[in-house]
Amino acid sequence: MKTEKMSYIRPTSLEELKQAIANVRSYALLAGGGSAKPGVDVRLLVDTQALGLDQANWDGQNLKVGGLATLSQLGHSLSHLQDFGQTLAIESGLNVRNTLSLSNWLSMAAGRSPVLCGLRALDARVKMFITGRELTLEEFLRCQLQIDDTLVGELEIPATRPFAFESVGRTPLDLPILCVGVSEVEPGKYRIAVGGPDMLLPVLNLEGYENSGEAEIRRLLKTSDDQWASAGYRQDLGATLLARCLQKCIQQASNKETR
Amino acid sequence: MKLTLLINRALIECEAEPTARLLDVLREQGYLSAKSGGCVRGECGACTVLMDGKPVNSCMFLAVQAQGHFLETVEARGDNPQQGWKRSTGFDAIQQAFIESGSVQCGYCTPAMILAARALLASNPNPTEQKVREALSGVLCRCTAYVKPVQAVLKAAELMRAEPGASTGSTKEEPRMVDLDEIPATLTVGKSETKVDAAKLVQGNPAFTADLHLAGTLHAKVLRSPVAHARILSINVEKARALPGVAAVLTWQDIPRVIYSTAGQSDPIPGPLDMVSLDNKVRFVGDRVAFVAAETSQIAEEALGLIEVAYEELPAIIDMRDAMRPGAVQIHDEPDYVNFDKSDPSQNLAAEIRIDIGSVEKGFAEADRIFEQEYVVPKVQQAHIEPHVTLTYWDEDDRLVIRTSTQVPFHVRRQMAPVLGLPVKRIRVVKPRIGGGFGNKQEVLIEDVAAHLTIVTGRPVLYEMSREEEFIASRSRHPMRVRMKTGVKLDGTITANEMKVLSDTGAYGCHALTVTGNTGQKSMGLYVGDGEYRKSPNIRFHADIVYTNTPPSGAYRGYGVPQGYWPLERHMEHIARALGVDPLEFRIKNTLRPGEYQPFSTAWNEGREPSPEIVETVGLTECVRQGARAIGWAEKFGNPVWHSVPGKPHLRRGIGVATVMQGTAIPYLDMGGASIKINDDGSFNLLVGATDLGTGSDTVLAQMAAEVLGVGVGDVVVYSSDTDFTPFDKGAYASSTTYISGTAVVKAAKEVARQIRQRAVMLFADQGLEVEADKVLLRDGCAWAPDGKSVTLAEIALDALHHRKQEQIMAVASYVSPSSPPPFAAQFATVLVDTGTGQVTVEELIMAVDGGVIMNPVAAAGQIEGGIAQALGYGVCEEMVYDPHGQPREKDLVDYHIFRADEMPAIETIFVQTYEKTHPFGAKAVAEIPLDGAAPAIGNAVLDACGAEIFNNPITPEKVWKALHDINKTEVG
Repeated sequence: MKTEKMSYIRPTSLEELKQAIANVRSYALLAGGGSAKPGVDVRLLVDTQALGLDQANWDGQNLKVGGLATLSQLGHSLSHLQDFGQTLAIESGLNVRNTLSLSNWLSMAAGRSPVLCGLRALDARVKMFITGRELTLEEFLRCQLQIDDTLVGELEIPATRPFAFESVGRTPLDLPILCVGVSEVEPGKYRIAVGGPDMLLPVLNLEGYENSGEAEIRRLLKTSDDQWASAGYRQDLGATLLARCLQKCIQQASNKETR
Repeated sequence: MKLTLLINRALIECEAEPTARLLDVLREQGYLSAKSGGCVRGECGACTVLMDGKPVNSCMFLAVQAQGHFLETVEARGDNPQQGWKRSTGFDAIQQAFIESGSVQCGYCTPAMILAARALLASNPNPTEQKVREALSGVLCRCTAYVKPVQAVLKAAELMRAEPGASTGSTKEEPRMVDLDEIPATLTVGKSETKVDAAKLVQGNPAFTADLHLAGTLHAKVLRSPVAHARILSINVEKARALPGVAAVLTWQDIPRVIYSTAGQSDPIPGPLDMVSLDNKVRFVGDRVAFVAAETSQIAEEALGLIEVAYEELPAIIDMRDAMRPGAVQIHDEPDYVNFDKSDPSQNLAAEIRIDIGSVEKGFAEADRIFEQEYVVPKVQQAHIEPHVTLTYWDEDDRLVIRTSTQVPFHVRRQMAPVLGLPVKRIRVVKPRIGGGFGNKQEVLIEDVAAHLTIVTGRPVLYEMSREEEFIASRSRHPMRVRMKTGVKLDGTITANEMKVLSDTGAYGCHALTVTGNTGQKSMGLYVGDGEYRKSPNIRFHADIVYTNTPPSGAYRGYGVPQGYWPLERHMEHIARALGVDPLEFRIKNTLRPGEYQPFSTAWNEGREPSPEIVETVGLTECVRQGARAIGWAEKFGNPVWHSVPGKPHLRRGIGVATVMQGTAIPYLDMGGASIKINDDGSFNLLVGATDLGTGSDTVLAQMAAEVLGVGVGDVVVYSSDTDFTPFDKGAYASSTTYISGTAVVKAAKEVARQIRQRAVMLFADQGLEVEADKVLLRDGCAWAPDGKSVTLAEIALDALHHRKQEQIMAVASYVSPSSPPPFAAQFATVLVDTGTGQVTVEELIMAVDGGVIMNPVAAAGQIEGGIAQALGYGVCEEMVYDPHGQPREKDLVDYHIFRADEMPAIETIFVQTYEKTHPFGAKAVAEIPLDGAAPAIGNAVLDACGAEIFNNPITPEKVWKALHDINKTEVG
């Protein structure tokens, strides 16, 4: 990345930001919220921290977290989901969680990320800051972001659902060989995300208490061979972890009813 | 652009590029406590600062983003209470607790840990241990296993909560000590003295190589090979040289071709000479292609991208089993290759070892049963947090100064001289503080890069490896395939023991012979058999050490021995269980006892003449007893209730053991030197060539000198490793500093003490007192006459330096040992295995160690704890994997996972003290032995838990899962 003649701004509003990058769109680097294309001359460094995107608020059943909130802030906001804390602990040590904004982290998150697995299971939605575009997390992960639309404005997380997470790694806090996140979308309806393999695997939806999901998750992991594990192992592991997650979700739902 | 930063409550204005990292700007502004670990994903945390009270990684922030925030570095914390006339509040409670608890080893990550602790205690003054561990989770430490830092933070919290003046007890947690022999009383030796270097490190003082900023320094980068094996057809550096800010670009065509070895060892190097600074051939992904020096590291990086290289790719050998196959491509076909012993580059053979003691054929014939199995051990990385770093410059006398993070400064000088075309006398090597090395800095790895660039530009050059370079281009533990064959009687007597090894030295043969020789010597030497076999053991150790197109292997703490103990101790466990013999009894029955020869000493000595040696001190049986008691072996082993977890049928507990032996120094070869002189106030300067890389050796050497001279450790000022000023020392390796360099220190101290006594006699005579010199006692900073009169050492020093018959009381001494008394240990482990997933959670690791008399129990315990943590990684998660093209899987400390503070098992150290008469204070070594036992003990515990037999470490979940499936298949069949 060349950095000749670079200028710097710290805008305080969307309008100011838009104005600043209007003429240098593909030459702007949004610090805190995304990266310029490798090899591109960066002429404008935009420091995004004054845009007010680091807040977390509850809107009914949904948590709305600004794109410049850190992973640690996300953890605090979701502290009622016991298993979500585990996704963060595995993701990284405390310093990185204090340092990375959600926007930055999302620009790098990949298949091995346990937090991504958790958010996918919870069916999080993403709102881009500059364009105001709203996407599901799945759409966000698969779309090619435009260079001037890399800043995540907000993450909306339906975070009052039963949620469970299970992971297996070489050590208690190593990145997962396989992890499974499950949220109960409605009674008897489960949304299942699987992480661990390098590639991003599709999310599963499971309906009915009688369905263990074993066949589906085995099918999902059939070609999940990579440098970290064989597909055969992951298939077995997936079935085991899914069963444990479903058991936890049922338990949580039952506890909720009891209360 | 102009920046305004609020650092430690002061507004700092400075100029920086908009994209400058906060870490770099802080360091440029003199806040040097924030360190670079060379990582790009923030995984090491050595660069921690507090931003608005929270620990963040300064390498992940741009400096401009830090404007408007309150930054705090460790420079803002307390400082040394001795500030001359200036009043000082002294260290803060956290710093003080880190000093007193022995938390500081290499000290590279210490400021980061202190800041993380400060952030925690500011919001939570009474944290649980788990909260402390979470707070430290963003800072990786490779030295301490986090044991003492966690103790320190808890203690600091207690201190900060206490009423002023209230007693809170000692911060030190002494390890359990058991004396097997009578240990003579001492005043300083054997006490957990505070480390002499701790104060500077808790303040983040500029102690490390990269902390010295010289005007006009250029930054070096190395272009590295993208392919595993190729000839370089052409290199075009025109564009790179033309880039503004580039001062030099060097390729193989620009510098003299001098063949050498990067292994930092005594002369003659016991291995082939097969390396040149830059070659027209590359032999692994990451091999050197070109050197660049530029005004900034960014420009140097950009210049690398402008170098055009045409490669003619050659077939590559990635699997060591392919190296000696007929028709295999020859990795070293250069005509100037220099053989050592049986190396044969035409066969890709870097070294060959054939050791036969007694007759294994006879032993096998006499056995009731023979057990055979192949084991595989992986390539693993030292992962010291400070990367390799070197600063070179011409001094005012046009001598080349190499300031470098090395374990072997004197070897660097000797080995670099011909490579650089300079005589030894024109080179000065300075070893500042080292941020961990673990053997990887026993390599003369990068000094030539910076030095060549200084020679060509005439300017200072700093070369600091990135974390990725550490993984792809430094050194690592040799991976090996090991075939065990053991004959036993039904009563458990070993009749013959054979180990055949195929060892992978990678692309260059550094340490090929000596590492692999140690694999056999120190593991296979432990098991001699029983009865008549004990008198004449039957042992075979054969090894072929081959070249492959992977990054070179080298020295890593343990030096080949962990590779021996994984197969040996797994094999012994298997045999004991197959025979129905208690695993502890089986080991005690067959292992070495006092008064017996170390069998390998009769047959091998690192490529030199063997020197048969009787082992006098063996505390192994007591280690087994103590370790077994501490872990509750009697209650757990074979107890079905303990092995199960109520309500969780998929969880199984297991317990395992491994007995191990290491070495202490290399006999008849490695030499250490020391000089001591007295100062006007009765204090002493102790100059040693030995290198403290975080082990505490400076402290231990000071303790030994202080003991002889009758002063406190604080009266001995240690300066180590500057080839211009300190005596020669072979360096920090082979667990030799306490034993070899320590004996040299004691010799020098005794001579200084003799001179002091003589001078005391003169001063006593002035008082009309006639005293014989050998009756003068040195103690408490005074010389004491038998009648109780005394003169202070300050009076003696002033008399000698200023008053009459002036002389400098001083002495120089050196020592080379005829002995290598081995330390012993018993390592115990308990694990929890999830049979549904194969996941292994190590719950407890206890090591009972016979390291002779322990010079400093807290510091030695820190060594054991840190070593166990590395061995734990060897057991369950660490390995370096390559694809068929030689491309590495691990390039950072995310994929190469080392344990964090918040996932460590409980660790305990017990010292069983024997008195080793060949050392002035009875010491043996402790630094390397903790690397040997944890992996096999964990493997044995997994076997105990669920029957899964894993032959290849690390024990990953998939291997356990597969082993359990194999058991199920067998049962079904």
